Amino acid sequence: MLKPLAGWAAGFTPQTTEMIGGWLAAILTLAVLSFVFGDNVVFRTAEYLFVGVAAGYAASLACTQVLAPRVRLLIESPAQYWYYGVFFVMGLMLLGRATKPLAVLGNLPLGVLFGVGAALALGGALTGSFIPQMRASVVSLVPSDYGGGLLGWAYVLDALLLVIGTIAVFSAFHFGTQAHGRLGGALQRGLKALGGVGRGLLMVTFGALLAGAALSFFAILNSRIMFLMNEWLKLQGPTGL
Amino acid sequence: MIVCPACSHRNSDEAAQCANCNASLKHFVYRACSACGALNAAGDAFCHRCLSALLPAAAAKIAQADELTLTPMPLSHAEPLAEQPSHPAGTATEVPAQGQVPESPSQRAVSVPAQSAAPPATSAPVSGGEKAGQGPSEAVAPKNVVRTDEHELAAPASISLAGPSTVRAQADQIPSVDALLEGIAAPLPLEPAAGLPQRVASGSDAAPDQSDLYDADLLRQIALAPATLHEPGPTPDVQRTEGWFPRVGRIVLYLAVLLVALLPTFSGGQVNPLVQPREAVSSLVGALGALSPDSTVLLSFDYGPTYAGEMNTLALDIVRHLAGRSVGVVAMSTRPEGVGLAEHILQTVAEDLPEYRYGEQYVVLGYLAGQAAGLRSLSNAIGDAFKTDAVQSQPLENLPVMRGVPDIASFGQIIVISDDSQSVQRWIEQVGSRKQVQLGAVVAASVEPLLVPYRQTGQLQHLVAGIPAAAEYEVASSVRPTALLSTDSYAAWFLLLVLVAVTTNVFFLAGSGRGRRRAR
Repeated sequence: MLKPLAGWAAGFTPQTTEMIGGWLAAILTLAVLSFVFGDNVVFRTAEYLFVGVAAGYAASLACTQVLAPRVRLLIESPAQYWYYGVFFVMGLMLLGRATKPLAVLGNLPLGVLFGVGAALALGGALTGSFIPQMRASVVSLVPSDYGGGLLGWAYVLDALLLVIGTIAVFSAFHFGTQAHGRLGGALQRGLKALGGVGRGLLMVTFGALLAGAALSFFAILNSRIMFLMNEWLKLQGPTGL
Repeated sequence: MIVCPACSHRNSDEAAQCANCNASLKHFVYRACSACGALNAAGDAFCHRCLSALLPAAAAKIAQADELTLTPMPLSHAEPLAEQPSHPAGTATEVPAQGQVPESPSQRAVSVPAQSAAPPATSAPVSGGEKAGQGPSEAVAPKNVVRTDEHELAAPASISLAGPSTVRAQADQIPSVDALLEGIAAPLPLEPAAGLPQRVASGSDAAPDQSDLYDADLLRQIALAPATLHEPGPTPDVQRTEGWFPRVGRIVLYLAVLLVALLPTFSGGQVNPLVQPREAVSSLVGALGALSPDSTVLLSFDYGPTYAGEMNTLALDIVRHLAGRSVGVVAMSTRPEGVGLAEHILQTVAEDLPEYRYGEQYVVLGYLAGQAAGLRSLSNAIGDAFKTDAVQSQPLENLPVMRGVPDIASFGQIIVISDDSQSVQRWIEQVGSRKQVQLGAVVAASVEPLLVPYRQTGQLQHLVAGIPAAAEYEVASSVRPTALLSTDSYAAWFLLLVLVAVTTNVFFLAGSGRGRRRAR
């Protein structure tokens, strides 16, 4: 049954496949945009199709570009690429997690995965993020270090904002018991005020993130509408996308 | 003793009202035994536990019975039973048959009530004191049952055996079971005594009153209500009818966004003259423009189809810029879907430039699995991560564009095109921190704020984000405009956002002020 179908599909010209692809893309775009009128069957169909196609594509790519080349190397040169066999067996052991009697087999490969992942993440986070960011937080508050003059003071103000803002945001997440005594009470009140400033800065940050997200979403919507207008309805010339 | 149905107080058998709560004892259910205190059904004549007479009439009849004679079952070889003389009233003589040991008084006491009639519980119920007074039918002792005084049993008679003819004669004298039970209205109930106390007299003639009907209806409602196995969840909000303003406002907003997106079709690029490249975009353009034609750039297409509408424009501009300068492009992706997007972008540019050939000017290495581990192996050696390319499956050393890049540090620039900040962080941590590379990021506008600290520390040499940056890039690099065609819509979008934010805040403040005034 598949052979006649494949033969029929092979007869398509590039223009035909492009037309079919364009119409499919347009129909699915309209199906997703139908969510404006509320949840409906058409939107759900497009949603499920997207998830399924993405998963299927990822699985096929993993097989063709990750597994198959390495298995071929293992078969062609087993002495040189013997370790691929070890990892292949561990991958099969991981499949044992699907059944209860064989679930214990998956413990070793899971341990390797978690251990290697944790080591890489920890090492990379320390050397790549934590230490450089900590080092960058230690800034000079002397205007002459920035060239002096008004520009130097502007840099100092920027550095002050950075330091105070960092401490204020940390203070926003401080939780403690009721302090006793005048000094303790005063410190707690100060910490509480600083935490309020930190929460304000957090709101500004979230607002910036939200604005960026809104811009991204509009860019995606705009690209789809331009596709419908130019590529599908051909109201204008193609944009090349 | 009659047990009050209202307060369970024990009243005398003659009481018509409870001495404790004055409730009517007409429809009492339980009767307590005077001897052992066990609860018995109202219709029972004898206690199920100690077999004492519950009803006074029954006890009196038993006490007055003077014709009760007991004839023990003779043994097979025993002498025939002798005729027993009748005794005057008041005494009951038990004459043990020959060959039989006379019964002890306790045995006699047990056997007598067993033969008296007691109404069974399954028969017509006896409720109240009316029928209870009647008690069981008169105890009729079977014939030949003689009760003797205790002292007459001091000297048991000698035992002698009877012959077969004697036994037959004795058997003829033994009355039949039916005769023995003659006159007894009903035997003891057959069910175990343990079941008796829980039995409630059924078929009461009394009609239910108002409180009974109410209780019955309440029980029915409780019984029919579905049982909840879990803690009751939050009660669902009552569906409120929406006013016209939110509905109309939502529709107006949708139409406004659609109009903004369609604006470039009519406006003709009014904002284009105002687009000026920022420092970040200019630095990237300058860095890529400074590359020699024999340089090679690594592009990692780490984004998916969801953000393709935004990222494709930026990626296309960069590839067009590099292709125009004959700089080699090596494309890869740490996400499976990025490979197809990379191929699409490069093919689009190749269609415009005939001399832009696969393998010579550009190549697609494919998908790099393992995220951080894959990037670590890539930073060690490109050959560890990729053996062949993704399109033609050729070994990397056979591809001319790969000949000038033995390792990752040989690339003139590494640009990560991503919609996710964590992907860029992995590149910084696994590649940028270990090798001396020029690392730049082209990201979606939503993740730019998360990567600014890396730009400030110098871990990222370049950071460009969003469609406005793409328009600025096209202005700075003079590549074919794509994002510049949509700048009018983005400008209108910003205006619409500000307008909506101001309007909603004004309405909110006005509404909260009105609420406070109303509260006062």
